[in-house]
Amino acid sequence: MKNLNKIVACLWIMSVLMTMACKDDDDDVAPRNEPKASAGDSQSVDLEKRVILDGSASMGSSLTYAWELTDPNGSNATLTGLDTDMPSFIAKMAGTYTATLTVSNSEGSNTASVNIVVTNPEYVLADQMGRPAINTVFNFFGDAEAKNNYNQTLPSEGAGNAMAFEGILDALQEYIGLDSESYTNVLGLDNTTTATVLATDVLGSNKTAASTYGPSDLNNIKVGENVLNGRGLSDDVVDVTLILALAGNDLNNLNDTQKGLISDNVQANDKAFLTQFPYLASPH
Amino acid sequence: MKRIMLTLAVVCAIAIGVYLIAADHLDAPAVGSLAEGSSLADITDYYAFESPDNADNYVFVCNVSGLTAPSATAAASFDEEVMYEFNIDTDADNVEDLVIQALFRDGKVIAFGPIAPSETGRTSRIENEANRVESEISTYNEEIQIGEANGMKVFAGPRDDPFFMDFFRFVAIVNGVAKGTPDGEDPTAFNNPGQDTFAGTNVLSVVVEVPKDMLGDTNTFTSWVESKRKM
Repeated sequence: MKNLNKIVACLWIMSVLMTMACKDDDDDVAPRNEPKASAGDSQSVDLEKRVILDGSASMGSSLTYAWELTDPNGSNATLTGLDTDMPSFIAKMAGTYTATLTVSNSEGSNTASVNIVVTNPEYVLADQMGRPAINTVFNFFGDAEAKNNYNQTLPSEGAGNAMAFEGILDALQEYIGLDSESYTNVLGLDNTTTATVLATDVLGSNKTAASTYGPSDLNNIKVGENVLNGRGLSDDVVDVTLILALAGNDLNNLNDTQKGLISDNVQANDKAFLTQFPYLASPH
Repeated sequence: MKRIMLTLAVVCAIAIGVYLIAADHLDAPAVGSLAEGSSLADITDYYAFESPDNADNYVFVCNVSGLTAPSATAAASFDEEVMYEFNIDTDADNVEDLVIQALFRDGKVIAFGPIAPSETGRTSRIENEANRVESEISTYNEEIQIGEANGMKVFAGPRDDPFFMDFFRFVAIVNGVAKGTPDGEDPTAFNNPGQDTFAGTNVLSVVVEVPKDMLGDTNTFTSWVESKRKM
C-alpha cells in the first residue's frame, strides 16, 4: 500500500510537471506577439549633433512605431521618421530630451522612454589671426613657447608685444643701412607707432569703401579706405608689409638695397580667383 | 633703448629657424610645424573683404591645414571638435561685439551669426540661437556645395591656397638679418621673378558671406578669426 501511494504520488507530480510544461508552451504563443517597447540606450551628445534613436530591440510581430520627443523645455520637438524604428533629430537645445516610443500591434501596445543628454561644450582658443603675416614676420622674439603664446593672445592683450615688434622693424632697417630712429613709412608712421598698431592683431574694415589691403593709389594714400581696409584674396600683402617696413616715406627716392627688398616679385596667386562665391579657386 | 631692442631682436631672430612660414602658416608648434604639418587648428590665412559679387555683402575666409599637397587633399577633413570663429569689433575696444561661428556636424558645416556672443575672449560656446546657414562639406574633386539662408552663404572644403609669396627667399634674407651686418653670403634682395612657395598647394577653407548691415551700425569695424578647440 505504501508503494502504491508512492507510485500515485509520483504519477501526480509527473502529471503536474507535464501540465506546467504544456501550460508554458501555451502561454508562450500569446506573449510572443504582445508588443514590448525598447527605446534604446541613453545617449550623450554635443549641441547640433544628429541623434539617431533606436527602437529596433522592441519585440512583437507586426509592430507599428510611434515616437514622441520632448525637448529640455518640456515642449514637443520634431523627429524625422517618427513612425519608424530609427527616427532622428538634431539636438538644437542643451539639456535633457526624452524620447518615448509606443509600439503597437493587434495584441495591444507598450511604451518605453529614453533620455538624450545634450551639452553645449566649451571651446578654447587655439590660434588667432587678424592681419596677415604678423606671427611670422614680426614675431621673432623667440622660442616655440613664445609663438604658441602669441597665438593665444587676444587683440585686447596685444599691446605687450609692441616693443618686440619695434625691435624687429629696427633690426630689418639697420641691416640695410637705414636709420631706424628717424624712419617713417609711407603712412607717416614711425617704428614705435607702427609696432603699436601691429601688435593689436585686428584687420580694419570700412564698409563704405571698396576693400583693399592696399594701397590702390600710392600717390593718394587714405588709411582705412584705399589702404589697410580689409584684405582681399588678390591683395599683395607681402609687398605692402615690405613697403611699410623698408621703403621709408618716399617711394621715389629708394636706394638700390631698398629697391631689391620692397617686393618679393610674386604679384599674384598661381590660380585665378572666382568671381562668385566662394571666390577661392578650386583645389590643385 | 633702441640698441637693446635691436640686440634682442637679432638674438631672437636666430631662433626663428624653420618655424617661419607666412602668412601665418605653421606659425607655432602647438598648431603646426614643418615636420608635423599644419593642423586643423592652424590658421594659415584670414581674409575679410567686400563681396566681389555684391557690394552690400562682406566675405570672411578662414584657411587652415596649409601646404596640403594635392595627393593629400582628398583625405583632409574638418574636425567636429574644432570651431572657427570670426570676431567683429564695432566699437574699437578690441573685444568682439559680434561673432560668426562655423562648426562641423555629421558631414555638414553650420554657420551661426552674426550674433552678440554670450561670452567674449578665449572661451566660447555654440551660439545656435543666431541666424543659421548650413551646407554639406564640399569634398575633393566633387561638385562644390554651397549653403544659403537668411541672406548668408557658407562653404567649407578644400581650395587652392590663395596666399602667394616667395617665402624661402624671405627666410634667407631674414636669416641674414639675424646674423647682423650683411657679409655677402646672405641675400639682401628678392629674386626677380620670385618663386611662389605656395603654388600648387591646397588648404581647407571656410567661407561665409553676410549682408554688411548684419555687421553692426557703424561704417567701420575690425575683425579677426580664431580657431577654438572643444575642451
